[in-house]
Amino acid sequence: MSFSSIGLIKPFQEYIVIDRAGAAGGSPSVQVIMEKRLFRSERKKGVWRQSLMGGMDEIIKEFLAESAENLDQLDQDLVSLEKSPDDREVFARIFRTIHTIKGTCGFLAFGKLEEVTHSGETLLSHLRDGLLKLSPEITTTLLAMIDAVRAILSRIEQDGGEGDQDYKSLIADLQRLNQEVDVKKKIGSDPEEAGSRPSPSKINRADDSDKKRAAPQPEKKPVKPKKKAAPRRKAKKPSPANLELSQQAPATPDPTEMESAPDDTGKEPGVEAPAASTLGENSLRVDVGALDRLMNLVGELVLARNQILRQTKNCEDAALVGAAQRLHGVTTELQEAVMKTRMQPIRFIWKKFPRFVRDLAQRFDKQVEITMEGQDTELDKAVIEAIKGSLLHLVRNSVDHGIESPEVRIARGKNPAGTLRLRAHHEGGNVLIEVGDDGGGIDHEAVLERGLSAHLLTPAEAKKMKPAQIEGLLFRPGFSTADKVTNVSGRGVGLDIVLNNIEAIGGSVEIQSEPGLSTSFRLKIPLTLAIIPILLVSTGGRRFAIPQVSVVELLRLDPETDDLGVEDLNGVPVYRLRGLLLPLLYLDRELNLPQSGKKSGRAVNIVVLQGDDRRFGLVVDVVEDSQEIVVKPLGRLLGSLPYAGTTILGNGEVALILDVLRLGLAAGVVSESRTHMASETDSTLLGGDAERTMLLYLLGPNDERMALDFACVDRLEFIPIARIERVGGLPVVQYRNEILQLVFVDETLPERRTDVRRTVETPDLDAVQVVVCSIDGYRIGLVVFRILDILSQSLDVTRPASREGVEACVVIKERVTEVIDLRTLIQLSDPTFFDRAVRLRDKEA
Amino acid sequence: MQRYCTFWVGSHFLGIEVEKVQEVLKFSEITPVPLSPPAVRGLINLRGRIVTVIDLRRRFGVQKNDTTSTNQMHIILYDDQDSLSLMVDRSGDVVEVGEETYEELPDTLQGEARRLIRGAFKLKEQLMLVVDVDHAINFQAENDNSR
Repeated sequence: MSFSSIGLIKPFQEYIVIDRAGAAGGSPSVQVIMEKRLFRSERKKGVWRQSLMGGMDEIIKEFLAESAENLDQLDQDLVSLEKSPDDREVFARIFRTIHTIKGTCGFLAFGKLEEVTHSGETLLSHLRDGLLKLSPEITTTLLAMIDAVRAILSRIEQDGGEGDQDYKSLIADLQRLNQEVDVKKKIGSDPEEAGSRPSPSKINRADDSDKKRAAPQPEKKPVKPKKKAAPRRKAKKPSPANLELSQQAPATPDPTEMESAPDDTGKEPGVEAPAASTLGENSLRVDVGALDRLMNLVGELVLARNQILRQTKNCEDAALVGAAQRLHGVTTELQEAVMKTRMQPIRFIWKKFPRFVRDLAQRFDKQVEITMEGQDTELDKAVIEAIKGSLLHLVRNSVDHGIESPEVRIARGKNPAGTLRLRAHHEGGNVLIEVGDDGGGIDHEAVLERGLSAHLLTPAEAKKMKPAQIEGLLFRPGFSTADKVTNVSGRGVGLDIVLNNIEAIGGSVEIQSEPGLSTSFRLKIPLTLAIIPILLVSTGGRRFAIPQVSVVELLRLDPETDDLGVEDLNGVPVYRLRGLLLPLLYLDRELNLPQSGKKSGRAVNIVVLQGDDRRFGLVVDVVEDSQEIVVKPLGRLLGSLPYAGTTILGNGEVALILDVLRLGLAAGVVSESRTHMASETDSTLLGGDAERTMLLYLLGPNDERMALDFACVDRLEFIPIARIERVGGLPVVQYRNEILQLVFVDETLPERRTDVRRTVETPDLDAVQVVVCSIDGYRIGLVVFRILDILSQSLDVTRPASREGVEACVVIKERVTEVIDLRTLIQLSDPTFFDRAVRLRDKEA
Repeated sequence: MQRYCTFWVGSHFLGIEVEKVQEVLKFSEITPVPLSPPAVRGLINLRGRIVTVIDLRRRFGVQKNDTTSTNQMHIILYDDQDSLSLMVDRSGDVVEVGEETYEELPDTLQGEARRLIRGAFKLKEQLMLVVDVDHAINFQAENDNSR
């Protein structure tokens, strides 16, 4: 599941650019897109040469990869250009990208692609020359062109062809826009330039001038390599490629650029210049697969190192020990360095958002501005892949449901344009990503309504819900079916999926909403998926890893104390942990392992786990230690089993990583709780709700149901009937060095119906089940017929008390249930209990 | 001519196209996977890669105590999605066979073996049965049905 995503990489994004110095020296490997592009053209030299030897596929692959990146950049640039149409530099970048694609595809004989890009380029050149003003229509057409280019490129990637679509209407659109200029131009003052299509020479000139204008910008410093590339390519390639070339080669000599560059950065010229010129040479494009392999090998190296360290621990040979220590140091550093190469700034996903948001906003007739903070925050490549969909989902959610239409916004006194805020920053070992909007917030009423109609809660529950709980409803599976929710609540389309995806990689999601003002989703995401801390346990001679994320605490029950405290609740072993019943799972039983003979004298190790808002205890033989491990995905054949993956331990042994949630589900401790404890978990997790009461659910001999407030319950015991004695007519039992008075609930509160529904078969009469209760500091044992369950119930009185000894009647599991009034019950059974008890205490005092 | 990597499982002499095989090796330490389908023998650590081991004896329904072979070999399959190994009793040579010696299976052959075998090459000494690898490694559905 979660870990399988490690290997999933989109073909278009198969490269990470590594800053050589960064990877080696351990400094962050932040690379700006600009540098990448420059670097690519540098590298192309080699590719061209290869092409002569028939490396055509290689060229096309290269072309596809870089075009994809360029297109992403283009989307971003066009959208930002729309906002600031005078940004020459952005414009130059757009123009160059399209031109590069056009040039390359001409050379590679992709005619259709060339035609599309050519039309686009013409339009762009008109814009650049100031003959046209950028209008939303033009932007949309240009974006459509980029989409067309993308579509053709993906066809080329699939089958090498350009596909059947001819993009006639798009080209017509582009040309129509071009025509407008031509008309204008004919009327205007520059008849010389009035050609319907630019000639290559024109492009050439135009671009050179463009280049000059942009030259002082720091990003363009490392043009030197390109210049070197120029003569060779010029000599070999005919027109289109040639074109690109001459266009990229700066008309001005390098030194002038160098000199102008430091002014921008404010650094000392002598230092800056050489660094800038080698910028391109400092980066490498590396296949992600290669990095994964590297990572794998480093993982192995770490294991081998661990083995050697163990072996040399007691070694006398100082030289060997020294070498082992050095190996240790180098390996650790190597591991860190390799990890770093896999880090990518979050910008890699965010850069698609401006375009995405623009399209969405247009579709919904909204105005949305997008702001981004912390674009350089780095995450592991695999994590980025894993959260991409979720982020997109949240952004769509915000634009679709969060931000109101301009009219509504104006009516509410807001800026007609809504703001979508993306923020990312590091916090501890996590990255926090926030997707926020200043829209209408979450409409609690609508959410509740939807929750009610989806039967996620009862009207009574709805009344008592706190805001946080209501927002929590959005993440419930089944809360949202797209159409209804979009219209009704305006929130929460498939948020449960977002939550699942984020939780699958060990993250969490929070909502913050101010009704009428804002909504923001905060994602907490681990830096890397590949290495996680685990707890190593063993059972039945096998070792298993449990992700530390799900471990709440470790308990060791010592056999020395009189009682292990593991109680049996109708066949389900439970342990009372600070007043809460913790269902227990025995790992060996769950996994059908040979059971390690339950000796009563042995200590019991319980790992308290949190799975899906529900805690349970996993009983294991030995808790070994905690480690950081490299997660490896489990094969397809084993997908349905309760394992989250595998790992290789220090000794080379393979260990399975337990999937806590699935383990709990398989054993029923999680799903069971879901049916009748779902609301309870919410209330305990989301701030507690005093209105709900934990009840001990009891069965009487005639199938009657009773309940007892769990707060007064101390322990559940089985007491042999033979041990019950009578003192002064009162039943008592010796219990933990005291005399415990007993009350027989059946006798005190007998079933009054004459037509008994059915008589439950009598359990074996060797022992009775006793609920040891505390009231006013006194202990008393209630002898009950059978304990059915422990559950959380809101005490909505559906009927007042039916008789003395009963506090109220409620409906639990569709049965009318009497809630016992403990005090009255005791008095019914023994009217003098409290008097005696008080007297006893006074005497003691 | 096609080359096959051959091996024995019980009394069957079997072959797999050589291109589908990454390597053949011996392994002693297998980590069992509790609750897994019976044909999954466990996991091995192949130079840092986790490989799922499928016991072909169990796939072919060969009795457990048929042989007490200590020569059990792992045929690691070449597959970039999933790392899989077929555990066999004994490995044989790589043989080169001509299409003319190939024959479809007779209809009289029944049972699980029928699905696992595509056809047979009539070698000089004996028949080499061609294992249908896709079937051999795909038994999730079958197991679910039988449960």
